[in-house]
Parts: sequence; structure tokens; C-alpha cells
Amino acid sequence: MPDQQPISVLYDADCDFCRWSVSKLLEKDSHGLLLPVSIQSARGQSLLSPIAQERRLDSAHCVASNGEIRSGGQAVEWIAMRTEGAALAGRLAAAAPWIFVGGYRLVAKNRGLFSRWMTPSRLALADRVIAQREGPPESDTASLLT
Amino acid sequence: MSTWEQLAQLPIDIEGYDLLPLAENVSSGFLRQTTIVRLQGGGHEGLGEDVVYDGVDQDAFQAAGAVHELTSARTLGEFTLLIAGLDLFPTRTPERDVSRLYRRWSFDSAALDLALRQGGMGLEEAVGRRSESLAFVVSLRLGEPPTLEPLMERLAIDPTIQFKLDPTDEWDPELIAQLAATGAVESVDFKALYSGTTVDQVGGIELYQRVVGALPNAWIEDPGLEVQGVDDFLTPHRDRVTWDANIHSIADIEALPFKPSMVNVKPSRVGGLQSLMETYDYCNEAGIRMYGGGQFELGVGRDQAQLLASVFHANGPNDLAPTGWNAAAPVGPLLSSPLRLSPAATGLRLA
Repeated sequence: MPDQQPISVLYDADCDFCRWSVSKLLEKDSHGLLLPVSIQSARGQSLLSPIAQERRLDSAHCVASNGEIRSGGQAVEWIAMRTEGAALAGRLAAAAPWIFVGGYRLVAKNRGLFSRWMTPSRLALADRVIAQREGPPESDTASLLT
Repeated sequence: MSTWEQLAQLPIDIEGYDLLPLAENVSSGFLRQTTIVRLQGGGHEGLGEDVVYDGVDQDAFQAAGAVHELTSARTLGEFTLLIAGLDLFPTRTPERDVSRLYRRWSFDSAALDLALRQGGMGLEEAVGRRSESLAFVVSLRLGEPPTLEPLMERLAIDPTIQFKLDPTDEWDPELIAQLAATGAVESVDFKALYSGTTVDQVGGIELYQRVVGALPNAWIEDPGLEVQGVDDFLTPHRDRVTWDANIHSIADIEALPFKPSMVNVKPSRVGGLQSLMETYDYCNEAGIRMYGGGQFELGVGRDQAQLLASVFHANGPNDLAPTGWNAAAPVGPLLSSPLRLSPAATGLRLA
């Protein structure tokens, strides 16, 4: 039985493509286990305090309720183990693999290629999806689960 | 009062601790695993990072969990004595002895972080020194066969950046001349002191002859003095020789074949906090310059290594470049040397 504890997904709020990718991830998360948190927020910085500052924006991260952290490609495998196993892993990989592998720097390097997908309407929709799950600014993760 | 005496008396209150695993595929299929040691007490957390390289040792550490009783210490000095007396590998003998020092550092650094946070002070205040802008070099391998390309790729991002390079037998005079022409080689690391690792090198005297003369301003790190002819050849260049892999303590510095101009003092390689502070004081009093280096940290250990370097040897050729410089294909802009750090108001951390 997979672990059903919530997992915080840390993303770069200054990266349009990252926000859009996280929104796709959330749409695939039918159990509502994934909680988006901006890396730049106070809560994001607190959750990532064990991570070297210079690495925090290098990739997306996942943080479990007990504080365990996985980064980059490790995060995909980790989410799968704690949710629905291989089936979800396949869906995650199909939905948004790039936010985990190579992360922000990959996106930054290919900004021109990716940017044509980032229409204002797509971004607005993505931000709404994130906001629905993110809750009020700096709210406690636990309060979002009740 | 010595630096250690200033720190040893700091009160500490530990209620418990736990371990947080970190893992990341960092390069060419290498899964880097480290562990965050998180001490708790008085509503505060103190963090340190275990940088033991062998995954099996990390797995055993994490699987065993928080098995040690650490709540009895009342001062930082008492805590470090407690840690020194424990077997920090209770379920498995480590793959390499130096790992014991790495693990000891993870607990000692976490305790320093916690004591500072509980005391409401940062490292600068605790040791009476200022954090200065951190000079750094980019440690780089030139590929197989070696070419100038990795270096030029980074110079295109920042023409002022300096490098620490690992010479190999494949370095021919033409390549060395090209490297010299860049004026960007701060240090050459012969890596002759490693054994049983992926970075071992045993260059012959010809390599030293090709490199040392052509790069007359570069530091010469970890040369193989036992290699036929190398000691004699380097005698006129002893003021350029630095030592890294063999430096774990003051005793190691005193055991060197001649007094060094500079040594690499890596906190995790020294291990104990007391030993580290005593090494800093010893080098300062002896007029031995210092520099630092990283250990492929994934977590707060990187911040702590940079912070300590900025406080105790900010001007050395610190092998602590921001990680973006180490990417296979670096993307600019990247932070230049010297790096202005922002120490946290409390703790052994960056803000």
C-alpha cells in the first residue's frame, strides 16, 4: 500500500514553464497528495533549509511531511514510491518530466524553445490550478489537509 | 582565548535528533547520497551534513536512525567530547577510515549551528571575525583527450574566472602553452596522494617538468614527491607547493616534508570542531595560508563550508565555486569570484 502522506512540490515561481509544468502535475494527482510550494516563499525556504542555497533553484524538489527531501530525477521515483507506484510514475513522466530532470537550468537554457508554449492564457490557467492547491500565502501544510 | 575556547563554552540544549536522506544524480550516473543530521532543542534546529561518499555507508546510517543518546551535553565543548567517544558507524565498518571524520563533522557542525541559534548569534560574532568576500576557483577536468574547450566555455561566461586543473600524462606541450596563455590557471592538482579512488593519478617526472615551468604562477597541489626525480625538481618551487588530501590535523601539517606556504583545510576532513578551530589558529600563528574545498555536498554542508572559508580564509584559492560552474554545460550568467555571502544572523548558515 503506498504511503498516502502529503508531499510538497517545490517549484521556481519566477519560471513560467516551471509553473505550467507543476500545474500539469497537479492535474494528474487525483488523490490530491501533492502540495505546490514556491521555492522563493518563506515556507519554501524553510522546507528547503537542509538544501544548499545555491542548489535550491537548480531543480524541482519534493519534501515529505517528515522533512525528507528529494531533488531532480530522484523526486520522480520518490513520488511514485509514496503514491501509486509505477502507474503514477508513468503518468508523471508523461505529464511533466522536464521539471525534475535538469529543472530550472534546462528550462533557462531552452527558454526560447519553451516560451512559445507559454501563452498568457496557459499561464493564467496554470496559476489558477496552483493557487487552488497552494492555499493562502505561507499557510501551514497541515492546515491544507484538513 | 583561542577560537575553540570561545566556542566550547557556548551552552547547548539537545532534546533529540533525526536524519534526513538527500540523494541526487549529479553526473554520469553517479548517485550522490548524503545525510542531514538535524539536532533539535528549545524550539530550534541545528543542521549538519554527512558527506561520506560510499552509498552503502549512507544507507546503513539512515537505516539505523537516531541511535545515539545526545541529550546530556550542556555546552558545545561537552557535546564534541561526547561525539568523539561514540562509534558513529555502529552497524557497519565504513568503507574508508576517513569517513569517520566526515561523520563526526556532521554532528559537530549541527551542534555548532544549534548552539549559535539557541544563543541568538551568528558565526562571526561567536569567533570575533568578519565574513569577507570569498575568492574561489573552478575545479575542472579537461576531458579525454584533454582540450581547452571546457575552460574556454567558462571563460566566455566570465573572463576573470580562475581554475584549478588536474594535469594528466595526456597534457602535451601545446595544450599546456594554450593553458598558460589564458592566464586563468590558479592551481594544478597532481592528485598524487589519493589511493583507491576514481581520481588517482601517478604522473611521472616528465609531467611535472612540462607543467610546473610553463605555469610559473600556479599553485602545485599534492605532488608525488616519492616519484623519481620529482622532489629534487620541485625544490626551487616549494613555496608554490600546497597540500590537500593528506591534511586532517595539525599533526599532518607538522609531518609534511617542509613547512608549507598553504594547505587545504576542509572542515569535514578534519572532522572534529575542536580540531578544526585549532587548525585555523595554528595556521594563522604559523603564517601558513589556507584554502578550502567542497565534498560534493547536496545540502547545508555546502553553505557551511563556504561560510567557514569566508571567515577564516576568504582570500585563498577556495575550491568552493557555486555549483553552476561545475555543470557539464554551464549557463551564464554565473556568480563571479569573489563571492559575497550573506551569513545568517544566527547559526552556522547563510541567510
